[in-house]
Amino acid sequence: MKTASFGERPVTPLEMSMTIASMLIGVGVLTLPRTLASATKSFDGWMSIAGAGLIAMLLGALVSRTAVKAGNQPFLEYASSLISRPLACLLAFFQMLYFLGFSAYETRAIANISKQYLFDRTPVEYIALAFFLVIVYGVSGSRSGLLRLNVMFLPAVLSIVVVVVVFGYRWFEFGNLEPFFVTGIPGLLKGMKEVVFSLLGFEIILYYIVFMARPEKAPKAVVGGILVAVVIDLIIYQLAIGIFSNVGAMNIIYPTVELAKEIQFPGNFFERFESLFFVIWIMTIYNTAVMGFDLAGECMAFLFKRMTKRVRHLILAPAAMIICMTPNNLPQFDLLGTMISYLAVGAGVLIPCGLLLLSGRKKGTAAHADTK
Amino acid sequence: MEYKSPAEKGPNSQTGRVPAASLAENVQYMKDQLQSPEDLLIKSIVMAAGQKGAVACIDGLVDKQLKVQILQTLMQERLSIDSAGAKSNEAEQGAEEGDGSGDGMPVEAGKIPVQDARYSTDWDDILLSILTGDTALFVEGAKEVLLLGSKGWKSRAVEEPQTETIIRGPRDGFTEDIRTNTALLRRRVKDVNLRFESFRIGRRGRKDVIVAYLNGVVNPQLVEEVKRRITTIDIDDPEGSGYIEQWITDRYWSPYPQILNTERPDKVAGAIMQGKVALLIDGTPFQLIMPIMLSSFIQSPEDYYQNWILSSVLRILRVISAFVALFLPGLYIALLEYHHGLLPSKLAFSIAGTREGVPFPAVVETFLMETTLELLREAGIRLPKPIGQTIGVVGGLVIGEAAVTAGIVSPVMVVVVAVTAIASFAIPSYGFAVSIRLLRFGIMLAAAIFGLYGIVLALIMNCIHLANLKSFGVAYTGPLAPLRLGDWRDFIIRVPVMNMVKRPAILETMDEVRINTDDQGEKNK
Repeated sequence: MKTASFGERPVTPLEMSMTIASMLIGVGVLTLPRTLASATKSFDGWMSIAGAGLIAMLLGALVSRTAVKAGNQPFLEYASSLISRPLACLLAFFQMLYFLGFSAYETRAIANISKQYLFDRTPVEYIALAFFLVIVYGVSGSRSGLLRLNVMFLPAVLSIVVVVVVFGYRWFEFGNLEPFFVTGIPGLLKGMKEVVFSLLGFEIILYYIVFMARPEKAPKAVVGGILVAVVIDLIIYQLAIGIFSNVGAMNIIYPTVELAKEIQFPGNFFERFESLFFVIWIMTIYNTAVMGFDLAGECMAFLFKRMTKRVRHLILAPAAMIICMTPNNLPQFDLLGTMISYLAVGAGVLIPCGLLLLSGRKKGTAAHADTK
Repeated sequence: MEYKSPAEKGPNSQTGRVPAASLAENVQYMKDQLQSPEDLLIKSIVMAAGQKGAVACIDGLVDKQLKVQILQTLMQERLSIDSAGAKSNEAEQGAEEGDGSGDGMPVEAGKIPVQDARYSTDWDDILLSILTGDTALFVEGAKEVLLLGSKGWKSRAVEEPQTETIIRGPRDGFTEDIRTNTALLRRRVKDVNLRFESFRIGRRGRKDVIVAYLNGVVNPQLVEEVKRRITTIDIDDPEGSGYIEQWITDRYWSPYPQILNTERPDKVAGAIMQGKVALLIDGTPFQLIMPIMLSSFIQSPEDYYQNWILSSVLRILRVISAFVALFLPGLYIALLEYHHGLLPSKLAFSIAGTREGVPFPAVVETFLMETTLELLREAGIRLPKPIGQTIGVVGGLVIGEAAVTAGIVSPVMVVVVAVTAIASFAIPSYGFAVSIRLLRFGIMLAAAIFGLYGIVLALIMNCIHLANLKSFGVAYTGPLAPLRLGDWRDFIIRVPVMNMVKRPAILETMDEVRINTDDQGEKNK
């Protein structure tokens, strides 16, 4: 049945910030204290987070500038008007690969962590499959519904972080943070690289900007969303180092989940809080994965214009499942993550920024031609 | 009315058939059509001027006193009738075919002491009017028939609503009679802009449906959409509001109700004042309100009559109760089957101790007990009231106790089932409570397969469904998502009345302001 259109008011900047934040808060935060602790000494990782945050915000602002430039037309259409359709198709292919890989990576992470913290006997394949089916269910609905889902889940995720922080400070030892400023520049840079990788994902603004009521506010919204993620990274990192110390955090696979394990409530109501923490965290990881899958479908739609949504999903879902199941062990899984991150930097960040330059030049020459 | 219902003409319609000039022929035709049932009263009369006539009506649908008055007026001298049958000018509009003056109705409508009287030359119209309680006057030599409004039948008195009882607030509830219901609404909303637009739905049932809204407040697009959907209804008989609700709902396969039904006039009046649309339906005390959001189910009219702090706390309690009713049995399964470690060790030991003799795994136990509970509930509704309560007590206490003693279930299970049941009774909307009962089993299934992970996946699926759901174009999860922070004043927390300045933004009303904050006292529209 046709519905009245008046309720379909597009997304506000605040909601877009929440969407970006839920995209960025995913698996990365769960392992961040470990990767950062291995790269830096003592508590110096905070500089890496701050620096990487600034870089990410700058890149985010640039990418969203590109999105704003595209105006009302979809990003890929805009790209093909700038760099010709074959090149745009290549870009679409890489972005599709990236988004699909991203989605698969998050799913595999969910399966791995679930196996470690929730069930020990259930095979990883089944856990991932169940998650994937829910993702397919999610993308078969409306896309603005997905954006609404972000807005629904983010508060729950933020409040669980607050709970962890409030109850976790009992074990916080300030001595663990000392000494300050002992890491060299290379270490900091290496740490920054890790943080930037965990902050990738803001490229979704390229596609979701069409839902915004006032697209010109996109850069602000993106920067706001990244800021939320950076603040959460900082809070979790300092708590993890304060509780486990640098050496401890380095040797725990999922330090953030272990943080939740340390928590004890008055009256011992929950014995193992980390299960609950992780279960809530699944919601934000789901958001990340489902948006990735949705956008992979969107890129594919650009490549194959006549394909229906159902067929696209029927092709993409098994592909993602295969990517998801390819790594056999943790190092391979980490390698997959690194590969996807490089793909993200290339296809998701650098090329859109290049497009921005290109469009600026084109506009410049056009203006120049006008004056002639 | 610009909206013509497709069911305007019934299946037994005699389109175009007009009454004849002969009285005997007309009476015979009417008798043939209705097969002269026992409750059809036809009285031949001789009017004051000596003309022959007949009065027809259905016994039981007409006001007896009014009918006597009509007969008296017709038969007494007071009614002057031109023997030529020429009508007065004011009645001319009712009869386009009355140009052959001999065919016109000789009785002037204005002289009969009834509220509404009109002329008709269409048999469908005449028969339907008789069947809805009007009295028809046939006169020898006239092709026109005078229809006199004489509706009046036995209807239930206005009583306290059965389904939605509250402690503080008005005690009147809707009845089955649509006139009483419109009156109840009018008494609450004395605004000149209150609009009632009536439709007649159903090829055979011919139900009166009234679309009620506050003009100048409600979004006109919403009213248009409601009216459009109503006119699509083409069914022989839409019995009660349930048929109409199901027909015009956005997604009929969703377990969640997308239209609110209520017996309380104050609830309908409040909704209309907010900028929503209400449907009043003849023959049922349950009236419909649309559009609604998920939050409508945790809100009760009582919230507005009480102190705001109390109301807010109660709403939070209802949210918790909704979650408990939905998740508790599933959590029980997940914790016992998959995650013993999550429980404090002392509690885990005591639960394990009580489950010692229980032969079933927690999954079977939970499904067994939940099904028993649903069975008890259903039985309690079907039985006559005094026995129904006994079933509740007997079932709840005795079966629970006996099951524990027999070692079929553990005492903790009985506690879980009881708390779940109580939590589901705390939800103000029955329709929503039923949805939750249904979904609870889905959650239990998910928990049985994947434990906590399954529960969270089920929760995510549920949320996706809710995020995609709309009620007449309004997002179902508002004002949470899409985020309308202004509407949070009356969401889970209800702020003091003085601070609820605006109507819900998500309804996009024409007049947004509820409270005049202007010191001048000038209401700016």
